[in-house]
Amino acid sequence: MKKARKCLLGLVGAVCLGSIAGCGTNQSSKEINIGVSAPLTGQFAQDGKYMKQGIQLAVNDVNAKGGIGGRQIKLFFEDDQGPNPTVASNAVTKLVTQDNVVAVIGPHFSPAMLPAESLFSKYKVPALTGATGPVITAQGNPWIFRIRLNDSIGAKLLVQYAVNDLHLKRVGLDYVNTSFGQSGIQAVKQALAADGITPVDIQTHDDSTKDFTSQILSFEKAKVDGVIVWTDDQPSGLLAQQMKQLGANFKLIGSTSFSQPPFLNLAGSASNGAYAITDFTQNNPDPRIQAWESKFNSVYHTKPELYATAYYDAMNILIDALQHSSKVDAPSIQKALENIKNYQGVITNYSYSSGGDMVHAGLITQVQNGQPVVIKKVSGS
Amino acid sequence: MSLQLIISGLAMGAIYALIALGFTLIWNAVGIVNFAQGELVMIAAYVSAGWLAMSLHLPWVLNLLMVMIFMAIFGIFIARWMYHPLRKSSQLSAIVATIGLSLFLKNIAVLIWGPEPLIDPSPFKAVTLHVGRAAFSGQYISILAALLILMGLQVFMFRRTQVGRAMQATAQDGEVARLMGVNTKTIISIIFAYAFVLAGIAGVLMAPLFYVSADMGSLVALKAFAACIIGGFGNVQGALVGGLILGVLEAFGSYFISSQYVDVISFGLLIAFLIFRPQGIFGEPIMERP
Repeated sequence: MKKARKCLLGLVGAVCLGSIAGCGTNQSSKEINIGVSAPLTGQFAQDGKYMKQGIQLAVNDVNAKGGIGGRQIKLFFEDDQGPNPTVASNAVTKLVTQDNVVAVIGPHFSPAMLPAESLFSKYKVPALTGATGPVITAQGNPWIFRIRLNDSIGAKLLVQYAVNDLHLKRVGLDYVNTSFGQSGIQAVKQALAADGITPVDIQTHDDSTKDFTSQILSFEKAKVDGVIVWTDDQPSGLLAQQMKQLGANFKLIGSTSFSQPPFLNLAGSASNGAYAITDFTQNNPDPRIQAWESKFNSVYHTKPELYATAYYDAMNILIDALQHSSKVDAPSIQKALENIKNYQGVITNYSYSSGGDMVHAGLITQVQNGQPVVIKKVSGS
Repeated sequence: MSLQLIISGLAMGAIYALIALGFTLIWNAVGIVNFAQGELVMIAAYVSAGWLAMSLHLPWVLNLLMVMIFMAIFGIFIARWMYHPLRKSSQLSAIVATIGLSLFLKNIAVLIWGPEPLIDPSPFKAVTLHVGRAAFSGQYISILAALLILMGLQVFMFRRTQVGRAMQATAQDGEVARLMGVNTKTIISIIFAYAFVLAGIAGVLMAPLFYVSADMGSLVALKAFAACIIGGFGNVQGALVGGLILGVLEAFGSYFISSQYVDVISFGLLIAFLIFRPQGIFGEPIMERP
């Protein structure tokens, strides 16, 4: 009786909302509801568009094959405006309480993911995110799964390459003065300390810094043989450009930005020679990536970039977990996600490790003739 | 080494000074601080890089001219439709309106041109001069040259021309100027047009250096504002000297002290001036206008 009343109420509400939702736990509904929290408007709308494309592609594939156990996947998109904690929390709350989703993909930005974490554990719904800030999985929250390389692992792999392969002795550091840059450079410092190296010069800048002359001169004065940089697209381009202008001859080694299209476009020929740690680059000769690129291209008529690819993988991991989970409800999916081992995605093989990190390998790239070339596959934890 | 620092410091300082000239002009003419000055620079850079250079492939000089015309029209439009209706209310409302304009321009830029920064080609970019061991880009030279020309023009206009005198009269006492037969409405439109053109030139010159993005104007405008206070608010020479001092100080501070404290140094200087010499180097103290 009670249940019927609840159902009736739910139906009335659903009619009001103009959507057909199931009642309570969606065991009785035909579709499996999955939520996506992504920046659909604002400054980072481009990233949100890529996320959406990748996720949609994976869902279309599985739905065309008859869905999961005969049930189709239905996606609910909510706008979190990127690194906006308030909007992201509202988006997640709506997905979980109104749309009755059994799992969420996103939010993508660390500042947005942080406040959302407590919501996921409160409502007991698993979330897959591409936020790379070390703090995201440092909480030990069992409901959070990271599908990209943790910055602290990435920093360690990058430092190992700089020390063991490039044989850097005198290292300079430069970072963007945000939580992203600070946590990244902190991990770099720790990894350097493990190798017994103390940085000889540390510089910092903002996203709006325009002139790097004094920083570059300072590095030259300190006689560095390389500089490890943790920063965003715009500063990465300016730094490389001005290094070339001043004829600086130390090596440039950096975070993912230094392998991505914005950097290559902005820095032009000055991007040549820059090293980076990344998880995905276009034009990788790997057949897995070639197949993915042509598949994406046939639907969207453009090449996939990092976010489309990462979230395509994320959705496929979730689909895999759904196929292996005993019931279609959030706790069972969470268990199934914890059992993910060596899942072959486009970017890498994903394995769950305690804390929630699923990616343990990356690529070291170097820009040659304006294009990032993979020069080494690296892995660690 | 030091020469290199001086050059890059002067170039950044020249950019601050160029924007500071726009602040000074509007301040002298209508007694308000235009907080949208930085965003005007940004819009001009977008018009230059996003429309003219990318879609029309105009030669650089023509491109600059088109941006100047666009900005002049924009300036007249703002003078007529934004400043003029608010003229009779308190100065505060006009200042708040400029803050609103700055937010509006920032968001409209993202809507029109998207979040990815654009690159602006420039004929000066390829040129790099070497003096001893120091290298300086042609872009820097073009900015310094533009600054000196525009500053000379501004001083000459205010002191020697009929329009300039009418502007000064309008600035000092609009009511009396009107009684003396100055058409203040037209004069204010001219002032806005010129201040917007100044921002336009700054935008076209800055675009190749910095990439064009929605927030390219915010921090530089804040620094330009600081330059105005250091030099003496409303003083043309003050804007120039304040800008250059700030730019060179930042370059040296970043090198000899630490890049982590650049903004602390520049805004610390601003606070010191506000406490110990609020009238700036050349100016008279900022006071409420009667």
